[in-house]
Amino acid sequence: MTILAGVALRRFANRHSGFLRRRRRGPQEPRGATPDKGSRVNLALMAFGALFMLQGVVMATRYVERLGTLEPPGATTAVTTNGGPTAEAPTRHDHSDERLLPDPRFWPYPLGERGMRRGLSLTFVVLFVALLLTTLGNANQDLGKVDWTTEWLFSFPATARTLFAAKTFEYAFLNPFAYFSVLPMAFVALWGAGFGWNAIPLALATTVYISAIQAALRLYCETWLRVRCSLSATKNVQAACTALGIIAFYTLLYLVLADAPPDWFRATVFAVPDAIAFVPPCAPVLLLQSGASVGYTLLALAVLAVALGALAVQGAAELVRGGLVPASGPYASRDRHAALGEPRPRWLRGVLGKELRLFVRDRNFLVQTTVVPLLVIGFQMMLNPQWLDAAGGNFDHGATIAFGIGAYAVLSGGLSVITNEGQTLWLLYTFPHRIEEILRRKVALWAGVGLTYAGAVLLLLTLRGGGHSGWALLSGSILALVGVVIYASIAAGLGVLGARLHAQRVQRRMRQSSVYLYLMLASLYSYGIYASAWSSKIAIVVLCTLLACAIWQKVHDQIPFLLDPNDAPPPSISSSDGLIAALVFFVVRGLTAGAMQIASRPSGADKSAALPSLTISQLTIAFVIAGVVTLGGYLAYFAARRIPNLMAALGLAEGADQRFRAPIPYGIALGLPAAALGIGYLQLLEHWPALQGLGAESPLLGADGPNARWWMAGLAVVAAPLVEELLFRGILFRGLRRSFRAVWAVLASAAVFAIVHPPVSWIPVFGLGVITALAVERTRSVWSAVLVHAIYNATVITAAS
Amino acid sequence: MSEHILQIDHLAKTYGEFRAVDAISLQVEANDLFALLGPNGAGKTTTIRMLMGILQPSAGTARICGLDCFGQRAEVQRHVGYVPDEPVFYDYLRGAEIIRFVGEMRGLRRADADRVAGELIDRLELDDALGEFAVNYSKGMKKKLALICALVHEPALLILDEPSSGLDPFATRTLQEVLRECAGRGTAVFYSTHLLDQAERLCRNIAILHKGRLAASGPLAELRAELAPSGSLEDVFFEAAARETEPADAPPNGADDGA
Repeated sequence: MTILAGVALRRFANRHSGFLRRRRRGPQEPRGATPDKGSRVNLALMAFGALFMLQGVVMATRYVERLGTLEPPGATTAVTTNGGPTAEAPTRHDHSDERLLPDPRFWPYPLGERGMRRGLSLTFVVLFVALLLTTLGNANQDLGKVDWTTEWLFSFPATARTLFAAKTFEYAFLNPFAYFSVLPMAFVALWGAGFGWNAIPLALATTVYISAIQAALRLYCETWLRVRCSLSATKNVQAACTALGIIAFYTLLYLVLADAPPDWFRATVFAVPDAIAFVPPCAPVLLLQSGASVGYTLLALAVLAVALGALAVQGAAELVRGGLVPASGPYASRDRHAALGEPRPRWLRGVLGKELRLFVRDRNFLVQTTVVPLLVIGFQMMLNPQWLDAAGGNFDHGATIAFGIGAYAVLSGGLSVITNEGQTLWLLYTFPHRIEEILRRKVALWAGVGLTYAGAVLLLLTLRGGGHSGWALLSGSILALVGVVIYASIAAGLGVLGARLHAQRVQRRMRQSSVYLYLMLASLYSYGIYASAWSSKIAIVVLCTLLACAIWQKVHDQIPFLLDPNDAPPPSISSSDGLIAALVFFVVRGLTAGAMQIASRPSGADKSAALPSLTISQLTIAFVIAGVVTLGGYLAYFAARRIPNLMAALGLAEGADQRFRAPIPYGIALGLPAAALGIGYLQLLEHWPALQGLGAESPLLGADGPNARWWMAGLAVVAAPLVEELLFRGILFRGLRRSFRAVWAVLASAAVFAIVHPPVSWIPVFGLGVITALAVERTRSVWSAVLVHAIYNATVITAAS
Repeated sequence: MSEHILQIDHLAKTYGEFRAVDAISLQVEANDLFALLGPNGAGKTTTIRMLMGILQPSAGTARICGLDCFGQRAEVQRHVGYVPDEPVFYDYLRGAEIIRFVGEMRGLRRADADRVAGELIDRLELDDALGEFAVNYSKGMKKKLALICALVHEPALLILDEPSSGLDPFATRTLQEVLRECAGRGTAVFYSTHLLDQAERLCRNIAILHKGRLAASGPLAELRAELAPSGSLEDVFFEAAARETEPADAPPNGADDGA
């Protein structure tokens, strides 16, 4: 028993403290071990855990205080909405919003009189149910498998009772979920009841107690499922548990977050008998009873927990009396009619058919991917009913919601396109298809799921009416649906890049950081839909599409090495490098310019006054500094990654097998049409001023010295062509061109180049981007593009002035 | 194009300092039954995974039907059938569905796939299990299923990793018959094993892998004459392993004396 408990502790510690041992082991990794990059994530998780706990305490405080003000439904005084004082409540509640913890003299009346005791009891019941169901549904993947780790344990000379007791012990003490949910609530209640710092040990005891009775129930339920149900039935039960657990959990969250306890809850609180506190999960509430002896109550709780545990162990041992695994158990899923000759519709063939079958048969996954998003959304609607109203007023809001729901539906399926193949991935490698193609079909499937959800929401909102123009409906819907498709591929790409295929446990195969990254990126697109300016929408769509392409380029590089524990793809310049470099450049430029603006403020000026506008010399200096920092940094980064023939790869110098093809003649020859395009567009602007309305943001340049013209010339003819060409053609276009055909790489790099400019100049800048990219493609030299750009800029500023 | 179905040239795989496979070269031709012998950890599975394009060779090349195993993986798979050491299938697909899935992924006509698979299913006595989820299969059943999947497109080269591990005596015998027939039809069979007696009964050509290096390779009869004239394959195996170990452990000058 002690040994088994020790092993359980050891396993838990190993799983969660890998990063401590890793430091000591040094750089020499054992062969074949998967490099686990979880160390920083673990630290972050610990920080998150602490924050979570604090958040739990804060939420529980608000909640417990509100419970204290519960009035029977018949009472005339209304409950105020913010947890503040009611007419009858003592005035000492006045500053309740400023305290972290409730007042130690919080219980103003005997516990039973108001809703407090029954309200807390009900809360503990809901919490307990949520805990038990989620654990049954999710925590034990072992349940859905043929092999059962307990089978191995049964080969030791220990009785079934000992084994089950050890398991109960493991479940009771190693249940992080309970510590995060029960502990804050119990602590706050105990503190409020005036236990002072004794609330901490008492809250811990409460948590362990609740965890223990949950462990007892869980042990019995799991054993019962294993012994009495077939595997597929077990999966179904697990699926149901997941769904119900989510409902229970969200009910709790709803109760805690709602401004005031909802009416049905109040009604229930006063309808249940007082004896509810004697139901095992609520028993800790008895501790709060004024005048109760804490020692005796604790003793009673301990006895109750041990008794329930013993009962469960005894019951489980009875269940396996007739053998650990029933003969019919795992084999009950046989379909005697399955034969080779069975016809199958065309669309159900190949990967798609396989995916759909697995999807439908793995009920737990099915529920997690299709039902859970609906539940989450439903509860969000309950928590924030103003959502729908907002969507009624402006269809952009509705489209954002539709996209959010679609993107959420894509999340778990998309991220797991490769991890759910798991150990079966070898089979895909034996087919005469590129793995990307197979993955792409799976992405299409998930995009379909996401589109269904998003489409349903859009349809609902459209039918709901609200006087939106047809154009608003159309554009919003298109944006939302296109977004779902883009994000399905982003999710799948992130899933492949974040996969740890060698991890044993299914849950560990996917890095959690991929999920967070995906959610962050999805919020970026939501902003794009939500933004009112058309230029921002287009810019975000272009950016996100390119992001998806960049991610899939990495996936393409990564795929041949997925099953190789050791090797990685050869270093090369990627589209993602180009996108990140452009971002870094603009951030550094903005920061430098801002710093110079602040520095140039006359001393003694009012701090709140507007900053002096940027002069052309400052702009030029900021541009050059940002360019040098970004390009220098990237060159150093590329060199550190040992990219072969770096200078030739960037088009800066000739390589051994890459000669320049007449860069200067081509630069001049292509510079002329570019200049003509610029002048033509200026003419167009003059004749058709409506174009100015595209959102011209001419930089507000301040008064400058007599040298302004020279600064301007230096910026436009030297600095801008050099820096921008190296960024957009040297890195971005090269990165794209490695994986895409010339025409796509040219268009994509020109599109990014255009959207970083003010919308009024999108058209000519896009043209310039196309011409410069063509120059690089043709001459293999970035210098030709610099020349084109310089000619264009020189012509345009001359013509404009 | 090479005339050999499988051509391995100085193939190597290193993990950091560790040389899992160290510059091995060999060829396998049509009709050949070729066994790659070696103790545990000799590098057999690593070699096979390189042939399947799952691992990138650190040096050297492996070509199947003239195509590079890593660079042209998808093309190579048209010509290859593969049975891994421990095949894993989708838990919740039935055996019949998996065979069908493999046929579809290979673009076979269903009648052809069913004909080839049906015959093998009968011989391997898997028909009872076809309607069951793969999660319920024993190791031997999975191995049989993998063999059917590997043969369903009648490949030019069959690669098997420890094919008889986990099989019962009946299935082992059937497996040997199937492999012989394949070779008779012109398919090349390349398999790894540490079961010497089976290789002795089945194979004309063998290669012995020891600590990542090729200790010996060639027709079994020739190797026997050279290494252990009176003995069995077991003697050949130990003699080759011993010869391979000596020069590796001895200083460079001593290597000549030992050999």
